[in-house]
Amino acid sequence: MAYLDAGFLMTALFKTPSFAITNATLRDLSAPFRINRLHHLQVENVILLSLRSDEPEQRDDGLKGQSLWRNYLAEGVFQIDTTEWETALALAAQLHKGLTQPTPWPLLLHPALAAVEAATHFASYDPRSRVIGKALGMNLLPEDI
Amino acid sequence: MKQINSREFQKSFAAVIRRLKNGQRIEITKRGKSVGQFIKARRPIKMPDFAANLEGRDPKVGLQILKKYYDGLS
Repeated sequence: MAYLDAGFLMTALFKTPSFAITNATLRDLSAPFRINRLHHLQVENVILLSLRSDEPEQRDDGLKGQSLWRNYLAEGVFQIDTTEWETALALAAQLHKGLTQPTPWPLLLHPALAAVEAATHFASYDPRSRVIGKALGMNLLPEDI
Repeated sequence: MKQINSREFQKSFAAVIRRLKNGQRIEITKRGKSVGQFIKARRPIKMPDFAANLEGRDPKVGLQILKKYYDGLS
């Protein structure tokens, strides 16, 4: 099972220069993709940020991203599941003890959630999360960034 | 997560499967201790063409939006 972190998931909703890599990565996996309420909150928050932007292009892109997000949820491409929050938070806190650099907590929590879900693969574009995902024994997607 | 003891799980397997939603888990216990989990399989979903669904969008704008996400994490 592959776990997508929120940043990776969002590249399926908002076109970025890495969209071809995201597409190829997701096409190699099988839907539905299990996500959790952290993804849900983070995606909804980014959509709201873009819809409230001063830039008309970002508002327009936000609407398109929101439409894709709603369609993918309705079609069951992304399915929001319950998870073992306490176990994942405890693991993230344990991982935090080993850090030498301050790291935003969602970047710790996503790999911890992936490990708790027994994911074999961890999809992320963030090097900080990728290091943790690898340390927890998961294969990284994409292999290189 | 719901729990069921191993004896009940074996005896009522068909009923348990019917009650679970696709992808839902149930913890199996023996003498009150967890011995594993059972996850009901998910119905396969047709994979969308993610790239085609992003056609006509400007990658620079998407990058600016995602920058807000990463900036907001710090």
